[in-house]
Amino acid sequence: MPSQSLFSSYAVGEFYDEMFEQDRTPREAYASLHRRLESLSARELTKRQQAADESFLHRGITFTVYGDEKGTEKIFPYDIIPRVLSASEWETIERGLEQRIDALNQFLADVYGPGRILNDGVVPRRLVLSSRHYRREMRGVRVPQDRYVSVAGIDLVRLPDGQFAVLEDNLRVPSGVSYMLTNRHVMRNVFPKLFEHYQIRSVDHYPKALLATLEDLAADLSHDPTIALLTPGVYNSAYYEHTFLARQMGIELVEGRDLVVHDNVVYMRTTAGLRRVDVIYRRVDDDFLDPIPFRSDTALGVPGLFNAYRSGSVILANAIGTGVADDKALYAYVPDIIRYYLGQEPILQNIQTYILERDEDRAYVLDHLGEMVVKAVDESGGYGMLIGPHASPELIESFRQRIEADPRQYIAQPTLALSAAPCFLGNRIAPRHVDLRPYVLYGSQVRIVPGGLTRVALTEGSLVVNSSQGGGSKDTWVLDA
Amino acid sequence: MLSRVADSLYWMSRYLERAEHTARVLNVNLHGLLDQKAHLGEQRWARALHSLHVDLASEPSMVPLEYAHALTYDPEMNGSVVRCVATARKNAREVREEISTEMWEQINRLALHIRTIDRDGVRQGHAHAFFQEVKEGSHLFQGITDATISHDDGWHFIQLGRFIERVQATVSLLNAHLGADAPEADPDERHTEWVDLLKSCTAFEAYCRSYSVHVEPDRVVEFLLLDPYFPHSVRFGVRAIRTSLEALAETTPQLKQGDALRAVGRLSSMLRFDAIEEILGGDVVEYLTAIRTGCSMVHRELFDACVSYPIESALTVQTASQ
Repeated sequence: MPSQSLFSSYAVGEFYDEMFEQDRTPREAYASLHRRLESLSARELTKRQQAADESFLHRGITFTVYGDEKGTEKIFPYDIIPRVLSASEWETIERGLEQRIDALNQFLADVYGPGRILNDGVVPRRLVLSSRHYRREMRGVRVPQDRYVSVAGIDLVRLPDGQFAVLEDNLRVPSGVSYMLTNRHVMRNVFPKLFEHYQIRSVDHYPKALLATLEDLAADLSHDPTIALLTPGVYNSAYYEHTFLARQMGIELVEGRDLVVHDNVVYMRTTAGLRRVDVIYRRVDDDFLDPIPFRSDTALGVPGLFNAYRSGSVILANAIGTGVADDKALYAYVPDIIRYYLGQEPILQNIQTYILERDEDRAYVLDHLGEMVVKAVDESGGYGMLIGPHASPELIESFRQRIEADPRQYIAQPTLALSAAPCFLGNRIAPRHVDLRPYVLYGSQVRIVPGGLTRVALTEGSLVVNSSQGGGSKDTWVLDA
Repeated sequence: MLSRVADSLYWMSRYLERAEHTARVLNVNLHGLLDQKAHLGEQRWARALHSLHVDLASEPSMVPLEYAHALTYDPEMNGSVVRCVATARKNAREVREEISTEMWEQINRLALHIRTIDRDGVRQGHAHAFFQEVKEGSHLFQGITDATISHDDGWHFIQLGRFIERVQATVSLLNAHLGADAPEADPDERHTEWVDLLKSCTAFEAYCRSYSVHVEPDRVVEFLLLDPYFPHSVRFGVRAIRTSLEALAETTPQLKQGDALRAVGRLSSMLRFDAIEEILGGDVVEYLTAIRTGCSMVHRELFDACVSYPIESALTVQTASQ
């Protein structure tokens, strides 16, 4: 490498490096990208980075960080070096995701229906019933075609051996897909030349695939369904994404106060009168959907929505109560769930998970807290989490007390050596830890646009990639075979 | 279109129009104050504030200038310029995705900018820049609106907000000058007063082009009430309201069946065929009241039909039209 190369201080670490082999030769999929980056100066890359940042700012692509008084709206940091996945890597991921979403949907239909898996003792009944996201009200409710999860954002990480493993199944209202689409768009604008040497699979059809998935849910209706996207409103952190998707799909963006339920039928209030709604793609958590069965201290919901849903006059995507299957303690059972319903071995591995209700697991974890990642079972977005190796003794101690007080509330996993991808840091290129969130759509068929959102922990050594915790993202390329 | 969106568009536009009008009235009167005898100054303030629906009697200890100060800058005071702009922005934010980016940026910029302007202007006698900023900001917003979004239902709600507010404001100003409790003007001041009335409606130059600089009260009233071409005249405004209502009625059965179209139709015939001599020869205050009542009714009917209708009535209409 030339001495002025942006890679001259690049260290290939203990983890899997997305770009380089252990001997520092670029992996095949990255070879021409690497060559191209070698030929560019820091100034040139900085120029592109600025153009990209400006593009995000002008489009108003911002998110809201909760608990931060002053900075309510921030740009999502964007790294201009794409992450590249080969066709065969993607093929495995895709098969694994299809398998997983299928099994999880069967699991949900089972736990809210006959409960076979619980009777057979494969998954402990107590664990299901004690999950905060288990909805007793959903027992026996008929969900169209048993499709509980229509949209999932399954988080994958790559382990030191190069294999992808599932970190979390986000089965409630996963967000971030607008970044996936915008990242590609911005990348094409600021770095068109990079695309020349690659055959990259498109992601632009995501809104179309999402709409088709929602339409599939209403396949039994005799008329064209009216579909609306339900948002908590302008103060929600993902509001930009809600407006983006509604516009891209050409469906109405509604808030709870736009909907009324009359005789178990849901209508939206329009200037031309009430209009019946058939399918609601809701980006509102279960708790806030309907103040009658769920939380009553909120104005976000639609009174009567749950009854209308139960009567079958309106379809929700995702169904209510899907969160029970992404409870972090139930996560440990997903490989068994796959074996139980499909009779197959899981294609994508799970991360080893300690269930803290089990005495021996808890004893081991409490002895090794400094090496562990501890997560609250019902939190997401990187909130309520302990990363042992990076935590202060006080924080570790407070987690010890919390676990002892309520072991069901937490799980522990070994601290992972997440893979790292090269990121541009203003004057050099350095590895930063990444994960991958592909968006899985489950309709009459499983639709997964190739790639997903690659999130980056931009702080050196950090393992937390969540946007709410200061992470960033990069464009993700899946190569055509 | 969603009722909530229509509601926000309407109020966004209406509040901005109100901010602009209040800014202009205050600006004209602050200017006049500089070259007038004290007691006359108080009189005209009383009239200007009366036209803006400020009840001076409720706060006898507050001098008019303090009222003007509050009506300009006080974010807590209903109808203050700052508050109207902030409310307009709040409504725009609620429907940020329904309006153009250019519109949002303009109203956002205006609201953020006037917060930073010196707050002592009114008391110190140099609030001109502030008022200018508000007026220009509002004009720019209207121009951007007309140029950057489709003139469909949403735009008609914006038009309705703007013109219902404008007609009400002009009628209110005329009332303050012609009404029974309007103070008897000093003959020396008469000319200035009517010029100021015109200026409060940005109508002075347009008036001069029609009638020359001989400012006659009857002609001023005629111009502000009946001129067919001037955008701040009552007749012009009522016509704009009628056009937008008729366009909306195409897609809104309830609006077609209600009384709003009839009310606005009656108003526009009045303004089109009545001669100023008849109006001034009769009970002018009653005439103005009829216009005001007509506009209030249009507003009410519009909201009853499109925004806050009871569910049962909407269901009946839907079944009937199927």
